[in-house]
Amino acid sequence: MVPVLARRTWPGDVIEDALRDFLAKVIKVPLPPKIDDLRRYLGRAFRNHCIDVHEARSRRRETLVDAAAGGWEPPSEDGVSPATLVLEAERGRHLRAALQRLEIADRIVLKLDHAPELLDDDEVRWLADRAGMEPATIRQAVTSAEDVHDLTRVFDPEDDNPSDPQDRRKRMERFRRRRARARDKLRALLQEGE
Amino acid sequence: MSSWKHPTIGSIEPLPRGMRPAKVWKHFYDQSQHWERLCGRDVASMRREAEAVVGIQRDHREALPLMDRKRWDRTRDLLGRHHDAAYAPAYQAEMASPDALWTRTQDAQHRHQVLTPNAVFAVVQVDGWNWVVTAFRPLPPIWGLDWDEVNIRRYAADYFRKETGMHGDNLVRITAENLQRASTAVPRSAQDTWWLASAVGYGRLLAHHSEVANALAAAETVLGEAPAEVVAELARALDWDGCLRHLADAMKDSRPEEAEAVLATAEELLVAASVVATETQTDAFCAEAEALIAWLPAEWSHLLDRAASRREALGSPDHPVYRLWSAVEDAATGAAMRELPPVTRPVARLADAMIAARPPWRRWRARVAQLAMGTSAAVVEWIRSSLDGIHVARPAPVMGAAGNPPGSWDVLGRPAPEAPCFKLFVVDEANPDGLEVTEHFDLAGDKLWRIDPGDEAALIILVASLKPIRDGDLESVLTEAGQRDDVFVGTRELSPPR
Repeated sequence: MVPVLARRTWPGDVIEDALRDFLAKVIKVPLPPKIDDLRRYLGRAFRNHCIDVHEARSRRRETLVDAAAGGWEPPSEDGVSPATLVLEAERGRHLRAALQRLEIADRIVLKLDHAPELLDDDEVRWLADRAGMEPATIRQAVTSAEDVHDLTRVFDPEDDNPSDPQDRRKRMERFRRRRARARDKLRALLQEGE
Repeated sequence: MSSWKHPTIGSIEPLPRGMRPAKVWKHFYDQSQHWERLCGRDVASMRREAEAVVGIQRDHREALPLMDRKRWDRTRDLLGRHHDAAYAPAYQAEMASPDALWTRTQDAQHRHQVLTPNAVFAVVQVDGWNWVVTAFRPLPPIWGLDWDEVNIRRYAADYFRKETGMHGDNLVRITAENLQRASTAVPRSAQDTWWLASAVGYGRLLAHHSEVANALAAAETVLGEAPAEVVAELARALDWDGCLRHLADAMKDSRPEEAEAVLATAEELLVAASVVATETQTDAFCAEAEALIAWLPAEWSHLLDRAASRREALGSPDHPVYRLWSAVEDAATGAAMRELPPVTRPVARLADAMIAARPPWRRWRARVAQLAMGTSAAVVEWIRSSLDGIHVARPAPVMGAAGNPPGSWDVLGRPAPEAPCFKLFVVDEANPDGLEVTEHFDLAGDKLWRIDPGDEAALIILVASLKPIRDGDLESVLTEAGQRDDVFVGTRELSPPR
């Protein structure tokens, strides 16, 4: 439920606090009646709660986080329109097809950056061959990576020093450029498919 | 509330009931948008009345707070009345103007945009029937300065051009025009300086185009002659906090229009700020904006294209605008990818254990969505009212029944008055192909079917038309509906009581 980007850029305790408060609220405060799609509703409510907690922490506004426990977002009375659902399903299909058409290295870069759990066996094997390791070791390295820098070491096993700030900066910059190229290719494929 | 008919798009409904309170609160009560000039009503009094019910001041609180059920009901009723009495008549009258500018084609999200002569920007969703999803008056991201109608219209015209037709050539031409227009006189106020700073900011980004470079030189000269105090006044008035508040609220919204608007505004802010503000301010803004943009939901992945085209058009990697749109691209790509089914999942996620997967009968909703729906507003309203009236009846308490597991529940309903021809189906786990319950759906309000407590939810499909529909199963009825232009199909999900 928490985007990789947020996990990476937000202080860990903000997300933890938000999740704890949110679960307490789910238990204590009855959900509104007439929720069409509970998964979508709770996903949005959790996202909104995280943003409220973040705003309260940054003191940009006196967000009433405590008061918010008294209520829930009003569910959409009009529901999600059927056309929207069709559009979303189509977009998902396009994305899957476009990802499959990407070269494997591009696909891996995007997955490592945004959703490492999506790496399939072929992709893990590709990484393993490149690094001269066993696929299980690669899976372990992906699972235990603490930040993007750790993930870039899975993709790009160059022998640099992870504790040298300059090496780290260079590596990250190299990965960002690689990711931008992969993203542009993905977008071009998505546009082709429209 | 009545709909209004556009000559080519057709009938356009006002904002749906569920969206009215948030839009009235955010836009109609926004003093800087000056809706009183369009609707001729005392909007300030209406706002004060709403503040008393909501319990907070509207100033700097653009989003309604969460509130308990009782307060929410009162808020929804009051803001709904203000919508019907003043806001909707104003935006509908504006949209009906023959001088309103409409986009010729729908965008990828099946929407039209319109800019009215008095600077109301509205978005219309084309989705079976057509309905307004937002209506507001775009304003520069500046606080504490009041804008007259001439300046509001000028900004809105630029905003509309950028939102609807922006690609490289247009951007160059518009920037060159804005540079020429802003350099005719040395600015004497913060407002004048805004136009000049904005034009120069875009001009610097596009200075590699000769058309822009020529006009930019003259504008830079005029900017150099501007009194330091008005430049400083503009720098102080740039609404960094307001823009971030708006962004946070937009990221919490269920639809993308507010996010689209605030991202456009954030771009304007960063461009003008690059001329008059400090790098520290823009860096702080970008860092905060990135943290919020990270939450962009998968349903808004269309923002990837918008972000990429803006980044490519405005191109300089060192500019904060590049950073802004790159963050949107990252978040949109990441959000779309998160929605893909994971290949490996070592342990079940808590959310999956708590929340059941989407029901298998979603195919019927998709099927309904593909039907062309062109029928009278009366039939549409009848379907909505009839579907709303269907409910689960709780059984009366029985002596000694405490602790017994609940059985299935009766679902009751009756058609709204003045029924057209109709057929009613239920799709649930036991009836994945649809169970027809038309004969039970009568004025007696009898039981339609029984819903099992173990069911996640059931889908009710109501098909109505002016002429009779042939008997048959759900598949054949929907096939017939697809071949006729007088049939309308509505759906509703119903869950067993928790």
